[in-house]
Amino acid sequence: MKRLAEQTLYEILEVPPDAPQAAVKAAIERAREIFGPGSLAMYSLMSPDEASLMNRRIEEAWVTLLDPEARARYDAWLGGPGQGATATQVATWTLPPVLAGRADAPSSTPTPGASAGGSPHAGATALSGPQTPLVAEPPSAAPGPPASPPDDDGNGAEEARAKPAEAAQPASPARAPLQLVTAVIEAAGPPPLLPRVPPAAAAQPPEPPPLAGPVAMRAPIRLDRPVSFPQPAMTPPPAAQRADPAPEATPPDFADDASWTGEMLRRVREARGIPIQIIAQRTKITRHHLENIEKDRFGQLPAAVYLRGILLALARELRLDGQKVARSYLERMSAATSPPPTTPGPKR
Amino acid sequence: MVRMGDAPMLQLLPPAAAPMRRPATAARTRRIIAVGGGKGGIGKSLISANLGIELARRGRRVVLVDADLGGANLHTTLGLELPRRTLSDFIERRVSRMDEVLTPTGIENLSLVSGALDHVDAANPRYAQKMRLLRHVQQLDVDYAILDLGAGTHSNVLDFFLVSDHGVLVLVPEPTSVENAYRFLKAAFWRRLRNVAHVFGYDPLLRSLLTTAPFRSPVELVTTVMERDREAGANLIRQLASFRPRLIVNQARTPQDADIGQAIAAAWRKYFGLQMDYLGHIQYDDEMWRVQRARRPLLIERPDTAAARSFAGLVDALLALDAVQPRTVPPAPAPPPPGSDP
Repeated sequence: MKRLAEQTLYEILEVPPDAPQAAVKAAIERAREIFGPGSLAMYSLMSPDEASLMNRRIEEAWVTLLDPEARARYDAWLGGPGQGATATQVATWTLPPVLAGRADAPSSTPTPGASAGGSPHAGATALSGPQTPLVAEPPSAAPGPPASPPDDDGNGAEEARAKPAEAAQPASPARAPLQLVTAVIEAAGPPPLLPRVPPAAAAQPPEPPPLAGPVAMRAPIRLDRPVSFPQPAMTPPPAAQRADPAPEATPPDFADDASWTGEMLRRVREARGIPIQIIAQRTKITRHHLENIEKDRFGQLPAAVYLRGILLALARELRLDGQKVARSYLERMSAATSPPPTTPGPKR
Repeated sequence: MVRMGDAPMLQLLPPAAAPMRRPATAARTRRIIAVGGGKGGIGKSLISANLGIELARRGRRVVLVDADLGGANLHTTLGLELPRRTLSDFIERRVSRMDEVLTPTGIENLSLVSGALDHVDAANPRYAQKMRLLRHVQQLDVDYAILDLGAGTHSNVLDFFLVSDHGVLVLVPEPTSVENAYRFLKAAFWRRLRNVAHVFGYDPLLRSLLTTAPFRSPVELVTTVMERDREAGANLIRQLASFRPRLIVNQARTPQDADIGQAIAAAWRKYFGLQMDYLGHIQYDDEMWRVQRARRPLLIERPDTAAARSFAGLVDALLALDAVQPRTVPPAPAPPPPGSDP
């Protein structure tokens, strides 16, 4: 039994960790149906917070598991050597997390007194290494649990993640890997399932913006949704890092309905002065993909389903509306790669 | 023995004490199926009756117990007049054994314990009466006792649900029904949890957790208990694992309606961290309504209809569960051979 925030993405989807891509994708789609807004099966079951957490985890899975490289990194993080993760890897799949943690943890930590240390952030210790899930940037964008001071220098996720770890006591290192996701989720915005458990003090994320609610969460599937969706909810603005929380304000030269090309993305990126390797580092998308996107090398890009996640992540880094970017880019790509008269490629 | 509510609270089935309560040779109900759902009018009685008929048709000896003490009408679904002897005779000890209130239904292998009707208080039996009733149900010499529960989340209803081997949750694919079903399950879950906590002395622990802040989900609560007290948490998980409802979706009109069962089981797993077995769905069928108007059981009157055929699948699923989960208590049921039905 694990909290939603502590389940691995595979556990969230209820697929085995070695499930083929297609099965993962199917599981994600099914999960979206079950847990998305308007689902009869969810009616009155969970609180809005929980439902929204669940949906965020599903989107996390979408971004992470469908990109083969991000998934490989995530798998390595889950089960890979080093970073102190070894102790718990196995436990990840077989034991309730706490049990696993407790086995090694000093028994003095569990009491409420350990609040500060029992924080999910404590878990960060073990993952300060390079292996982090794709969606992990949020830590740098933590809405501000005291334990994790905002990482203003934009130095990348690893460092940000390491900070809370240092701040917190080295409570139960063995628990760490299991808890990372919590930290990530927490940092990503709305409060985690159980913010007070470890310590109300350490985890006090602001109320989730209404936008991050279930409706917004659903947005990613609905390609036919009004494009005017203010901000992709699955990529809540990394508040701490953005001095200006108004992302729309920044890419001034492109109209709302712009058809996004690789060239435009490159220009936005350069206008913001972000080197491509920084994006690669932060999003865990290979530089190779990023360059192919910017050069519109459609033939060399991954399949649309994966590309979509990549575009969303990229757009987030550029503080663009991920929905719009992904949609218009994918439209262009499909128009360019298949020559059907039905697809109105805006560029044709 | 694994039962839905191997509820220490009810003390019906303490592994050690149970055999001593009656002679070793005493007959025993092998399985208790409780059919509930929280909401009224979703087909609990019709499903109970037809499940009973289908099981009887396959050679199992079945007794239907109308446990809807305040609104008994199981006899009506079977086309019977109100039997002379009912559960209230038993509850009020006018008869000493449940056998004496058994009414034949005219269907082979199937008999009925009709609900209590004549006494207002019978709808709210005292705890001891309830225990006696359950004990006697367990002692009936049949393969299956099916308890048709009333609507709502009264403790009587919950307790019957919790002591059963198969707590069957019925819902129809409508928000009102889903809402009531979840309310019912949550109430049953909490009752179970409190009882476990009480029996194992976790009351203070639980209370201290609950007073700090309201919990959002059972998973969260149990995980927190685990963090505070690993032993208690692990035990709690073990105890709660037997809380495993079986789900039936009634009045499915579309394929999506049928799928709702899987979705609910998935949502349940995430929220409660527990398993739920989806037995299957029953197609919406006007015929069901027509035979009901005629006070005839569907499976007898129109076994050819889609709704009637659904019951074969439901019973297959139930028997399959019994097969993989043999009772450790005598008499161990022989797993039904796959093609054993007539």
